[in-house]
Amino acid sequence: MKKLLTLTLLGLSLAVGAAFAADVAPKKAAPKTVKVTSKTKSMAELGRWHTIHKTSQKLFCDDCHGGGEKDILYLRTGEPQGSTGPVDRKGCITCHQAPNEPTYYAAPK
Amino acid sequence: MTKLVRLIDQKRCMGCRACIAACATENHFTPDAPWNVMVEYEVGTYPKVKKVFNTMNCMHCEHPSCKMACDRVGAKAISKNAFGVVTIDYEKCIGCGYCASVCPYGVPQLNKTIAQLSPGKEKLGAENLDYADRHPTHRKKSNTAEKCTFCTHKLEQAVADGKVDRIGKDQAYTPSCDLVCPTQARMFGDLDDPNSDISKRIKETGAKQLKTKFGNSPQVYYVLEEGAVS
Repeated sequence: MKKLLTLTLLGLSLAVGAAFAADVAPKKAAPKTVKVTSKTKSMAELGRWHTIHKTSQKLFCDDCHGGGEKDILYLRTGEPQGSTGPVDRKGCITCHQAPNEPTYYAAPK
Repeated sequence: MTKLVRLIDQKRCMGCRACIAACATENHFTPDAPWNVMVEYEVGTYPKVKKVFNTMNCMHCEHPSCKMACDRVGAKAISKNAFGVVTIDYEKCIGCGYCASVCPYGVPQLNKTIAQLSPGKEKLGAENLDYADRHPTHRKKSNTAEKCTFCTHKLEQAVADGKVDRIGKDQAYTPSCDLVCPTQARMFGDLDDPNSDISKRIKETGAKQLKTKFGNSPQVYYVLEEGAVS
């Protein structure tokens, strides 16, 4: 009888201990890993780049495209960027020059 | 410290494109993704007109937009080493094209297809090497970004041979494009050494960087022809 009581108490204490431990250290959800690929980050017309500029920034095609052909100092002179023409990067510094985020251009010296 | 820079003298350049041919052979760049391009345009009004030859390759910026975009994307394929050379790791590149889209100089090129430099003819330069034997910057893959590396395979050789001081002087340790110029319009060397030939010439000529408003601080300097675009 004494043995049975001891075992029962031991079992109970283990169960309570486990439950308490579970309360103190809740299971961490495994971090969600998204593999970066050209599908998740894409320059395609319906890809992330264009979607952000179109929906969040409310930009039209002509706001960026067109005008770039006047800037001759490009290593790549015939940009295949659709019928509306190449992008003049001058427009990009409006939003992407330091301290604006995301920063792609440092502040000019 | 060693800060490697290039000087291109538009007043000396005659547009022969020997630098482009040398780069193509040395680095096996394909027509889809040229690492070095000759931009030419006219300035002035008749009868006082001039032709400007402006060869463009990677500017190896101190603040490279391509690297910032690549890091932001999460690919982290672009790095800048102690010499200031910006290179792309083809194994990490995901081919998203963000680097090409942000570079103010339009330098990184997405190489869609790996083609032979001279189709139907004999192989040239690095094309003769097995893929595994090539320098990592010559192990081309389709749908990855490529660009000029300042012939980093030669610079690495200089470090391995303990001859960093010979960069820009010896053939083995100098980018091919800078070696072949018949008018000495190109120069390569250490800007941090005030006694180097390139430091002196940049100072003497008042050479300028292109498109400084982008804040990238490019490591390629140009002696500008009168009326040339900067």
